[in-house]
Amino acid sequence: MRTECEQAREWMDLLLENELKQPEKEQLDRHLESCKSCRMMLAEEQSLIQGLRNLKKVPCPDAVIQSILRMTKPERRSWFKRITQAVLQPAFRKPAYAFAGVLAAALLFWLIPKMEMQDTGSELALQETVDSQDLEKSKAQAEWTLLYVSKKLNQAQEKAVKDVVIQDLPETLKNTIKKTVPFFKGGRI
Amino acid sequence: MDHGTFKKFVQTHKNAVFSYATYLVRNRQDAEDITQDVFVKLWQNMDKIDKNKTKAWIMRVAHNLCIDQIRRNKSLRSGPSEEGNQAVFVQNPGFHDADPEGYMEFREMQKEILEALARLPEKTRCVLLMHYFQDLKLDTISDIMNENLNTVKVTLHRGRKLLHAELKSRYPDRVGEAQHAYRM
Repeated sequence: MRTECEQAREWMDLLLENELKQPEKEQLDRHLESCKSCRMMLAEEQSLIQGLRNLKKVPCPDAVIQSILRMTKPERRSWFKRITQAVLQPAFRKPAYAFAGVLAAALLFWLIPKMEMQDTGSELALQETVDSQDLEKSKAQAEWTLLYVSKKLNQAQEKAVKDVVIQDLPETLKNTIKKTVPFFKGGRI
Repeated sequence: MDHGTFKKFVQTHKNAVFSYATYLVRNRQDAEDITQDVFVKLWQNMDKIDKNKTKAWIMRVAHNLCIDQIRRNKSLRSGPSEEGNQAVFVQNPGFHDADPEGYMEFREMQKEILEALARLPEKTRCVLLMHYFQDLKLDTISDIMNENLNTVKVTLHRGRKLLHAELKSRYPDRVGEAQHAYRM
């Protein structure tokens, strides 16, 4: 069977940790009034705890603090790094990623139609280039044909004139021409 | 936390960390290195730490570094060094001039408690120092030491008994004084 002192020691432990309830505290006080050994035990424990609480705080040397502050001195950061670090603080990280995702999606939706339009434009430009090349070629061909036709016409006209002239001339003159005009083939008609 | 706030935090908690390390590893140079490491680690991990639990975080880092250092020292030499206790008693001119006798007694009592503490198991010493000296709550200590709350309570209770027994066996007069004080 548990003695009164054993119960009191248990209460004393709770008292030292400020966990003893009021009714038990009153019972303990009553016991301590009559029990010298428990009273001494409590006094010793309280003295010990007081001693531990009063242990002197050892002052940290200034050299250690200076060394800590030197080692943790923040480096100079570029404005870009400062902005990204501020935006990517843990509290802002998720919203920042979400915003970046939405921005990227919007950019894609904006860019795709632009790219398609650019494709159509380039096709038209190509067509225009091809057309202009054909035009130049056709023009050159037409010029050449015109020259050819005009040359042929000139030749035909010349021959016709010559034929007419030669047929209608008197025989004596024809003979003179035969002798003097050198442009007929072989110098003769 | 910007560097200005960090600087203020260091100024506020430097003595708590340094004292804890000094009393635990009992070597001034090691305590200085540990204090420096604690605050540098705090600066490096600032983004990951819950602002409301910063003190508990630095105490956990200090505790882990102290345990590592104690184990390293154990492998290098046998038995605790007295250097730590000597390093603790820095001069306190105001107190010394006003009441030299009281100061001597205060020094003597601290020395006795520290010597008795040094003879306790490592875990018990940590719990006693964190709870009474650093004024940390038991659930915070259980977080720091990664132990069950009930285990911490039992360790604290046993630690008190062990320390009491140690002091009683080494300094019976001092315990008598406590009894005398109670009677008065």
